[in-house]
Amino acid sequence: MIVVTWGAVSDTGRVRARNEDAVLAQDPVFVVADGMGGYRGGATASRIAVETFREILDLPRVRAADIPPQLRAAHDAIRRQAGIEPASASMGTTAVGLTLVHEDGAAYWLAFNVGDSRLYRLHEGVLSQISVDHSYVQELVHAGFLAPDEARLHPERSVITRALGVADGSDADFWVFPAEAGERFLLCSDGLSGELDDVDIAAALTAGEGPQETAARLVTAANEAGGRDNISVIVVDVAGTPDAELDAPTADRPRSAPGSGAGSTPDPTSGSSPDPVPEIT
Amino acid sequence: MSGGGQGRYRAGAWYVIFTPDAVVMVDDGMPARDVQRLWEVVHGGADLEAILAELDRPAARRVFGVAVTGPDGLQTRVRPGVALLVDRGDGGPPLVDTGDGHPDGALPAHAAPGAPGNPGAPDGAAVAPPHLVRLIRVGATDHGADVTLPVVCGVVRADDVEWTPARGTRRVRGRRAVERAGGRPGTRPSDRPVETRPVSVTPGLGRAGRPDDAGAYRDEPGPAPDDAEPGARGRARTPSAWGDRLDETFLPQWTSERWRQHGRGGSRPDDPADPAAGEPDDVGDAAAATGNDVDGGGGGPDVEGATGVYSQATPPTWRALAARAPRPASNPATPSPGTPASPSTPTLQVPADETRAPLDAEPPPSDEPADRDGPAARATPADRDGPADLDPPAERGGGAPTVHAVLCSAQHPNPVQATYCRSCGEALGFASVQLVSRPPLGVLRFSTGQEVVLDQNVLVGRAPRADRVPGRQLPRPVRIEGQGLDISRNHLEVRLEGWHVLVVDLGSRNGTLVTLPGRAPQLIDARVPCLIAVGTVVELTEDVTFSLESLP
Repeated sequence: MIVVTWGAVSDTGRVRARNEDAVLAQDPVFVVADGMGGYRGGATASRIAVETFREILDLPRVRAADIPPQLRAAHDAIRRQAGIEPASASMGTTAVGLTLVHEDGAAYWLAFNVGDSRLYRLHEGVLSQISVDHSYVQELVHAGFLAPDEARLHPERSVITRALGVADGSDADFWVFPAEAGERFLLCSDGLSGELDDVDIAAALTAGEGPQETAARLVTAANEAGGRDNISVIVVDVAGTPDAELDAPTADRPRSAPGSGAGSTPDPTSGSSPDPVPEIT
Repeated sequence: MSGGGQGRYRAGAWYVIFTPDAVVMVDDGMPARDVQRLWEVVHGGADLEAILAELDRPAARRVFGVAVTGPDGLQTRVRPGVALLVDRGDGGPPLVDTGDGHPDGALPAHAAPGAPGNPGAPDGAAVAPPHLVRLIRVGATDHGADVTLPVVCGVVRADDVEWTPARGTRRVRGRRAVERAGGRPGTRPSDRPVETRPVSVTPGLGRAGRPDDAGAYRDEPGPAPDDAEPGARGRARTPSAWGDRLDETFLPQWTSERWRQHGRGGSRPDDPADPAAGEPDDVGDAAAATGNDVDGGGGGPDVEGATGVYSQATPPTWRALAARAPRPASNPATPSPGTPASPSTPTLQVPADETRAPLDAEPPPSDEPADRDGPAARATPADRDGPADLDPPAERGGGAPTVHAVLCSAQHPNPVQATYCRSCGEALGFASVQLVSRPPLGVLRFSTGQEVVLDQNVLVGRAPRADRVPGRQLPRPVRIEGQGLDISRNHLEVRLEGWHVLVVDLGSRNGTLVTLPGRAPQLIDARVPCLIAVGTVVELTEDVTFSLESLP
C-alpha cells in the first residue's frame, strides 16, 4: 500500500518581474513547467502544459500509456496558441513530471522530462537525479567538454535543447519504476537547481521536515542564493509498507535440479529478507 | 461427356476445384460451405460468368483464378494473388496473368483468340485451345509437398496446380459441338481430331487408385470401361506427359530440379498421341509416382528456398513471400511411404487435415479475430500539426506506432505478407500498403493470472524499471510479486517490432526459457531478441511462465 503526501511552492524569485513557472501538484500527478519566450508567452506555455495534465485527474485510473499522449496534447495545445498569438509564436515550456500509475494492481512511478527542469529521488539517504537535462551544457558535459559542477555556472546554462511547444525537439524522456515506501521526490525548475547544488538540496531534503516545509525551505534557500529565476518546487513523499522484494538482489537458482542444493539456495518464498541490500543503480 | 481435363496438384492450403473443363483456385478463407456450393456450380457445368458470380456471392472478396473451356475456347479470370499461366503448346512463351494487368482481371488472350492487340497472340492467328494451364497461389511457400499428384475431378487443397482442358468435350448445355482446335496450321496431329473422341483419363490413375474413390465422381456419364483402351490412354494427357511438358517446354525457368525429379524420368514421346509411346509412359509414371512418394513422403516440411519451385527468373510481380510463416505442414495429400495406392487416387473431397475444419464446418477462426480499432486509434498522422516531420506520431511519444499494413474491406489492418485478414478471414490479394497505427499483436497470459494486451512493449520482472526511454519504447511494467528472488528485477522484455513480437532476456541472473510451438525449450541468450509466435511459452522460473496468445 502506497500513500503519497506532497508540498509545492512556486516563487517569482528576486530578479524576475513575473513568474512564468507553473506547477500542478495533486495526487497522482505532479508537474513543474518552466515557460519561456515572447511577451507573456512563457507563462502561457507553462500554464497550458499544466492545465493539459490536469485532465489526467479526471481519469479513474491512470496508466503509464496515458502519459505520452498527454504530453503530445500539451505540445499541440501550445502550438495552437502560438498560432493565435503572434507575439508568443516562439513560446515553449519545460515539463518535468511524476505520475503514480497502476498496472495490474501494482503501483509505479511514471516520470517524464522535456527541458531542464529536474526530478530527484531520495531513497535511504541517497539523492540521485533521475531526469537528464535537455540543455546545451548537459550535452557539453555528456561529450566530456564540461565538468558536471561547472555546468551550473556556465553562461549558457539556460539554453535548452528541447521544450514543449517548439517546432522541433519536443520529445520527452520517460522512466517507469515501482513505487516504493520511503521514497522522497523533488521536482523543480532551474531556478532552484541553478542556485543550489546537490549537496544543498540533499541537506534540505533530509532535514526531517514534511514535504510542504521542505519545499518552502528549498525556495527560501534559492532566494537567499540569488533568486535570479523563478523557483518552483514540489516535494513528494511516499509512505507505506516497505517491500523488500523490490530491492533485494536476485538469487541464484539451480536449473533443472529442483529440490537439490537446499543449503545454498535461498528459499524463494522468503520474499522479505531482513536486511535488503540497496539497489545499485 | 467425354474425358479430357485432368491435372496435377501440389498439396497446399487453398482450394482448387477440378472438372474436365474447368479449374478454379480460390483462397482458403472461403467458408467450407461456400466451397461446397462452388464445387456444385462448377461441376454442374457452369460457364465463366456463373462461376464468377458464385465466387463473388459471399460477402468477402475472394482471391481466385479460374480457367474454363467453353464454346469460345478457354476463358480465364484472375484476381491478384493468383498467377495463371497458359502454355498454348505452340512452343511460344506462356501467357502469364497475375490479375494486376487488367482492371477486371481478365486475360483476353483466350477469350478472344487472336484479337488485335492481344499480346498473347502475336501472329493474330486463331489460338488453339491451350495445352496447359497452371494456377499458382502467389507467395505460396514450399511446404515440403514436393510430390505432385494427379487429379481428374474434385476439390483438392493445393497452392500450385496444372490442368489441361478437356478436348472434344461437350461443355455447357451442348453448345459446344465444334472442335475448335482443328485445322490450325502447325498444330500437331495430337491436338486434333483424335481428341474429339471420348477418351478415358482414368486407366492410368485407376490402376493404382482405389476403385471407390475413382468411382465417386462418376455421377456424370463417365468413361466407360471400354474407353480404357490403350490408344485412348495414350492420347489423353497423362500425368507423366504433364511432367514432361512442364519440364521441357513449359516454364523451365520456374521449374526446379526437385519438381523435375517428379516428372517421369524417361524421355518424352515426341507425339503424345502415339499409343506406343504413351502407354509405357503411364506405367512408368505410376512407378515414378510411387517412388517419388517414398522420396518425398518421409521428407517432412521443407521450406528451404533453394529447392523451391520458382527458383529463378522470377518476375517482379511474383512476390516470393518466403518470410511468411509456414503453416503447419500437414500434408494431407502426400501419402506415407508404403501406400503406393494413394498417389493416384483422384480426390473428390478435401483431404482430411487435422489442422483444418472439414468441408461442412465453418472455416477455422482466423488467428486473431477481434475488433482492434480501439487502443490503436490514438495517434494518426492527421492529428499532427506543426512542421512537416517524417517521424511517425509515436516518435513523439504518443499512441501506438505505425506499421505498414494491408487493409481488408472492413479496414482491418494486416501484415503486408498476409493473404487473408487476421481479423475477419477475408482474402486480401494485393491491396495497397498503408501506414496505420499498429493494432495489438496478441495477449500475454501469465501463470500468475496477469493478462497483458500487447499494444506496447512489456517489461517483466520482480521490480521492473525503464530508464530514460523515448515514448515509443515506454514499456508496460509487469511486476511478478511474491514469486521468489530468483526472478531478476528486470528479467525480460517483450518487444514489439513492426508486426513481430520479440522476447529479450535482459541479462537475468537465472535466464529465460522459451518454448516455441512444436519446438524444444531453449534457454535464450541474454540481450538477443528472440522472435516468438502465438503459442510460445516463456518461463522465468518453473512456476512463473507466460504464453503469447492471439486476442480472443
